[in-house]
Amino acid sequence: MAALATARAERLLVTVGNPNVGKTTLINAVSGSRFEVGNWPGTTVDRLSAHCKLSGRSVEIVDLPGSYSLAATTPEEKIARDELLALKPDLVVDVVDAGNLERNLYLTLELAEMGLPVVVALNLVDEARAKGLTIDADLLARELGLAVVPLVASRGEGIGELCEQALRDNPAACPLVAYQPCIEAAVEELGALLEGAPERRWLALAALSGETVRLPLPVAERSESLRQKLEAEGVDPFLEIAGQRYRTAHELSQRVLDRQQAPPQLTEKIDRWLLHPWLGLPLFLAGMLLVFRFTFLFSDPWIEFVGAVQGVLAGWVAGSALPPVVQSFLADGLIGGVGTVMAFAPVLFFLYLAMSFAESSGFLSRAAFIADRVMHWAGLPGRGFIPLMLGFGCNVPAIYATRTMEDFNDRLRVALAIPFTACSARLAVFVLFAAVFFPAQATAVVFGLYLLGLAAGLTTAAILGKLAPTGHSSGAMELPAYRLPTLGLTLRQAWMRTFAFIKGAGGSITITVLVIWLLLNVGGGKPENSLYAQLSQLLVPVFTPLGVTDWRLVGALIPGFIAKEVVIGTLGVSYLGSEPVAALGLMDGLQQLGQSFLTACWAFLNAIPAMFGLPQLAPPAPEAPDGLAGALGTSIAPAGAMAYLVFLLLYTPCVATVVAIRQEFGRRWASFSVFYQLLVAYVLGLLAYLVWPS
Amino acid sequence: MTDQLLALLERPRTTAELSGELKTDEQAVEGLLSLLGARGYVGKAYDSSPTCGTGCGSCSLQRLCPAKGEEAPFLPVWRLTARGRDALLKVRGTSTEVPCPKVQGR
Repeated sequence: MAALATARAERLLVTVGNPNVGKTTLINAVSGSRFEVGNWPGTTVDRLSAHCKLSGRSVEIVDLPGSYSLAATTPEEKIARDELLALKPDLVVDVVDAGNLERNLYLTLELAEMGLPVVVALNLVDEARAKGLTIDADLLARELGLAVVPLVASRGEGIGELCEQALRDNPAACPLVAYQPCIEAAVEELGALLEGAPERRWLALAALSGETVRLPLPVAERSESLRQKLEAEGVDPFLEIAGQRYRTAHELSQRVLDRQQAPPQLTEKIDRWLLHPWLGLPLFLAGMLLVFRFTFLFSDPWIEFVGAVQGVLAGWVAGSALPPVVQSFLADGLIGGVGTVMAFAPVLFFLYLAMSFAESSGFLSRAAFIADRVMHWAGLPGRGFIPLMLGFGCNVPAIYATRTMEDFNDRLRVALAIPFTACSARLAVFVLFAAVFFPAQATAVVFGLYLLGLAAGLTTAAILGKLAPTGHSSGAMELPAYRLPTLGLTLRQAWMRTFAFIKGAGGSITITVLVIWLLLNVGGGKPENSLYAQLSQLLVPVFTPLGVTDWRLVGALIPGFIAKEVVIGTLGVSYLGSEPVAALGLMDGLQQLGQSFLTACWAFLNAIPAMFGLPQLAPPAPEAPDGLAGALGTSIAPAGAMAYLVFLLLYTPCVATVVAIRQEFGRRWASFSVFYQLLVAYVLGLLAYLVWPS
Repeated sequence: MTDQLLALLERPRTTAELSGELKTDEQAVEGLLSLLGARGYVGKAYDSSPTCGTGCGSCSLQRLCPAKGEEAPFLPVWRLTARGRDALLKVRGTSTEVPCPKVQGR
């Protein structure tokens, strides 16, 4: 990686600078070496060195890890600090990012306090110019009292001048920051004890700041007593020293920087549309519609395939010589449970693929910005958009995220709105349900539910706001630049998230399904006489006005309190468990699997033109759905199915969310949340049943 | 500058908000925050948040959520720690505001 120093060269140069300012590129340009270069902070995490000849003189260049300061708050900063103190270089080349001058100058000011000879390599001036920043390098040199060389190291611009400067005898830098008199007096006293050390001012300041630096024992003891004395007088030396350095860096940068309006970049051009006051929301909604359409079109063939695999496995079990109870356990319980988990995989994978793209490209953060405006419209504080947006991922961290809001009423309003938002776990359930109940309008149905959840949450917050008005706090939004995510990264992210979900939720789904199987088989022979059926039937009269009369549908809502992911598994085992399974031979099963796989591949390929609205090439799907889809389709009318989905969306999302509300707001509000959500879910479910065409 | 920053963080704020209030460069504020954070004066608002076992793994908005600490610093919101609050009280307890000294030239 690096040419290691073997003998002391004529001249020793050390490069220091903030992370990702191009130190390594600079050394490569100067010495012709090939250190590894990366476009992210922390590429250099250890001391590297190279030997080269500059104007016939042997020079060793040591590249120190990127450091924002010499306070040794990270291992890299500690290495940089220790090496600077130990090496006593002939010259320190302080590589400064011209586009980020103020932050970089903090380190420059510290170097000046070390009393070392310093040259400022003002790198990346081209990028600074593109941002509309021009730095008066001559003025900066005068202000700092140091040589300043503007550079574009990646193109070799300014390297010649820097090399010339590197060979000159540069004087030691002078301190540039003046501190409060009490600090200066302490520094002077400690400096006198360190007579002869060129870095005595920096050492004294570091010791007063409470940093761990090697000092002779009497000096260390005196610095500690001075520090305690200052603190007793109400002066925190660390805060005073750091604050004064930042203030000086700020004032310096203000004097030498000329900020002009940079030409609009691609991000700004796109944002003019996506963040437009009127077009922003429709464009965001269109984007989310595309996400759902993509998920449906591409996952559907694989859901069918998983169903076919499940059917074949159950058929093989039915054809085996195992006792009936073991057959039932394997086919209805185990294969049913694991099959349900696996049915989630394609939905989640394609949903996360689309969401990863939306997130990495910068689209989702714009969504948050637009949501902010909608929330203002609903009377919510701007800051509340963060937790509410998080709710679309998972309600639990979203509830905790309300901690950023100072007003209790504001926090509570947002926290009570969050459980209505369709978290990613519920979204996967809706995708499956919509495909079963409304195959022709699945995208529109899921999209509608997504919006309904948001509307219910915002309305809740708005109503509570009317009951207990609060002052509004301000919010600020940081928007990253757009970028085109790489296919590999997006695929990897989607796979990792799908795997994490299957791993995390798979166990609870399978266990719940097995428990339901057990309950279905306890009682009187037939599933409808089982203990589970009897419990479920007790609740059926409550849901009859919503058009939900089947005990199996009502029963699935009970474990749905624990987590929504288990609802489909419960339905699977309670519907399919009562269906006789036809026995299959090995070859027949394999043939069915092969055929299903080819059908899935063909349907998947046809989803590509369909995504762009082109006519599909594949023959239409069979009219009569099989498996769970077929069983559910006959057990409930479309209006009842819609009411069921609305109820599923709006009632308590999961136990973890209730626990989070209890932790943050107390038992009373957690109970209120559960009952309020049940009420809203029931009322809106009833409304959906009444208005949805039968 | 540190006094002002600590005072602003009496209510949790994002870096962008702090930079706007201090009328200074956002990345410089980030630098100061990480320095103060390393010394325990300030912290991210969610450092100790518990998270749902399955939810974060499947959450596509993880990067928006600081609940996972270092893995998700997309929108960090900063707050005062107990030490920061003590320091702020001490600063307020001192009689005068520290005047801004002039930069010494060579």
